[in-house]
Amino acid sequence: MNLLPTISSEWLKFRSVRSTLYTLVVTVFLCVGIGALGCFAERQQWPSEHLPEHLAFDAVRTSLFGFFFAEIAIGVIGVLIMSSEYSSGSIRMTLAATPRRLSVLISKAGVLFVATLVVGEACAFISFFIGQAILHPVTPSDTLASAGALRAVFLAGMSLALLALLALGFAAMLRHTAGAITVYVSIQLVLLLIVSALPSSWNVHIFKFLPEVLTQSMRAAHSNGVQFTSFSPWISTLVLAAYAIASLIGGGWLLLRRDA
Amino acid sequence: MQRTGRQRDLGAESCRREDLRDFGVVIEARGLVKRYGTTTAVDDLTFSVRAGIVTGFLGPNGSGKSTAMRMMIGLDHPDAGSVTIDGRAYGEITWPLHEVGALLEAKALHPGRSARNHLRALAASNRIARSRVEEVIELVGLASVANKRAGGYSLGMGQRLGIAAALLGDPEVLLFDEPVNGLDPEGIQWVRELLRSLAKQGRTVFVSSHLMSEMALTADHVIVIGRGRLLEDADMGEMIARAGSSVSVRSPDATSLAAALTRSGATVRRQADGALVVTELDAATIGEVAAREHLVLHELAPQRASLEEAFMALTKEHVEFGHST
Repeated sequence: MNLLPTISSEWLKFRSVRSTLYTLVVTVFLCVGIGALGCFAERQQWPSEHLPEHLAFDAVRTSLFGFFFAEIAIGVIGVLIMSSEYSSGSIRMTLAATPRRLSVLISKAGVLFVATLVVGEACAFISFFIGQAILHPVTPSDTLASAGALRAVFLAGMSLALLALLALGFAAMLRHTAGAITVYVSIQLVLLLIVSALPSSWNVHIFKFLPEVLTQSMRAAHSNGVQFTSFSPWISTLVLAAYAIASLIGGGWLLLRRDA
Repeated sequence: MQRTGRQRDLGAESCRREDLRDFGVVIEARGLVKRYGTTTAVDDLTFSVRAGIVTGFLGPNGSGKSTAMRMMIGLDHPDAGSVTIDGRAYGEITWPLHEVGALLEAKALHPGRSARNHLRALAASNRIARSRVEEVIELVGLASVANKRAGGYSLGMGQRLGIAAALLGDPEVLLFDEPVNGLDPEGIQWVRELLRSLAKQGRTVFVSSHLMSEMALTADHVIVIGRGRLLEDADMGEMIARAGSSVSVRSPDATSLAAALTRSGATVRRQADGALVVTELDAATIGEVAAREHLVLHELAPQRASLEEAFMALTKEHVEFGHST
C-alpha cells in the first residue's frame, strides 16, 4: 500500500484552503497572547498572594495558559479537514480517486498531526519564552533547563496535535461540521463542568480521564499546582493518544462501512 | 493498456465485427440492488455497457440513476449484485483515475479551493503529472478562472471543472451524471461533441440524463430505468424506429395533400394551426408524393417529439414525485 500519493494529495488540500491557514495563525496568536496576559495577571497578583499560592506556582504552566483556548481552535481545524469534504460533496471525488478509504483517513491524520504538532510546538515555545520574560523579575521563572520545563513545553505542543486527531475522528464519525465541533467542545469543556458537579468522592476518580485535565497535566512542570488529581504527564500523554486513536478507529470503521 | 486487452478479445469474435468502433463489453452490472430503508432505489438492475459508443442512461429524476452510478465507482455499497469495470470491482483498481473518470455532481469541491488546486490534489492522489492538470484546464475552457476560489463558480463552470476531473487520468471509461445540467447552449453543444469524440476514440462513455431529446442527439445505445428497474435496453435507432417518428408538414393545399398522403398509406392528423402530423411515411416519401401531385410545401420537418413521448409513456408509472436524484 503506497500512501505517498494520498499523503501529497491531502497535504495539497490542507494548505490550499485559506481558512485552515488563518485558523492556524489565529491559534498561535491566541495561545501566545492569552498566555502573555495570564503572566501579566500573575505578576500583578504575586505580591498579594500567600505561601500556599506561591508553593503551587508553576511558571511554565502559567506561561502556557493560552493553550486552554488554542485547544478549541485546533479542534475546529481537525474537524474541518474532514467535515468540509462532506459539506461540499468533494468526499465523493476523494474516495473515487482513492477507493482504499483508510488510506484517505490515515493520510489526513498524518498531515494534520505533523502540521498541528509544528504549530503546537511553535505556540508552546513562543508562549514559554514570552511568558518567562514577563514573569521574570517579579515571580520565580524557569528556563528550559529547569526541572520538567522542557517536557512541559514539548508536551503542550503535542497535546494540540493529539486533540486535532481526536477532533478528526469525531468528524469522520459524524460527518457534519457543527455536530463534530459541538461534540468536541462538549468533551473539552462541558464534561469538565458536569464532572465537577458530581460528589467529590466520585469525581476524583473521573477527573484524571478528562481530556482537559490530561492536557493540564501535560503542560505542568511539577504537579504541585495541578487543579485536579491527575496522571503523570507521560501517562496523560498516552491516555490522550489512546483517545485520539480510538476516535480515528471509530471514524475509519464507519468510513469503510457507510456509503459516501 | 486497457484498450489493447479489449482489442485482443475482439479478435476472437472478429467474424461478426460489423461495427469497427464497438470494442466489446466493459461495464457489467448484475442484479444490482440498493435499498434506503423501505424504498428500493435500485431494483435488480442488470445491464452492460460497451466501449466505442455513447451509452445513455435514461430515467426520470429520482429513478436511481445517480445511485447506480455511485455503486459503479464504489461509493455506495450494493445490497445485492455487483458491478465490474473491465472485470474488476472499482475498489480493486490501484490508481483508478487512470482507468475510470467520473463526473458525479457539479461543484463537489471545497468552496475555498481553486480549480487548479482541486485538480492538482486529485492528480497527486493518482500520480498524474501536473502538466496534465494544465492540459485539462485548457481543454474545458477554465484557464482564465483556474486560480479563483471555486465558491464563486457558476453551475456551468462547476460542471466544466467536474468534466476536467473526469478526464484528468486520460481514462478509457467515462461516467457522466447529467453533464449538461447548468450549461448554456454553447456548453451543451461542447459536451455533446466531447462525448461523441471520446467514444470515437474507442473509450467507453456512459452518460445519464432525464431528457430523451438530449440522449437522442448523443447516445448510440440507451438504457432506460424507472423506479430503479430496467425498462429498456436498446440501440438508439431501434428506439426511434419503435417510437414511430412523425413528420410535420405545412402546405397551402393541406386538404389535397392530406388526401394524397392517406392514399399513399400514411396516417395524417391535422393540428389546430393547420400543420399536418404525418406518421408511417418518412419525410423523403412525403416530399415525393407532394411533387407528384404538384402540391406546394412550406414545411417538411421530421419530429423527434414522439421519441420523448415514447419515453414518457415508458416511464409514466415510474416517475417518483418529490425527487432527490
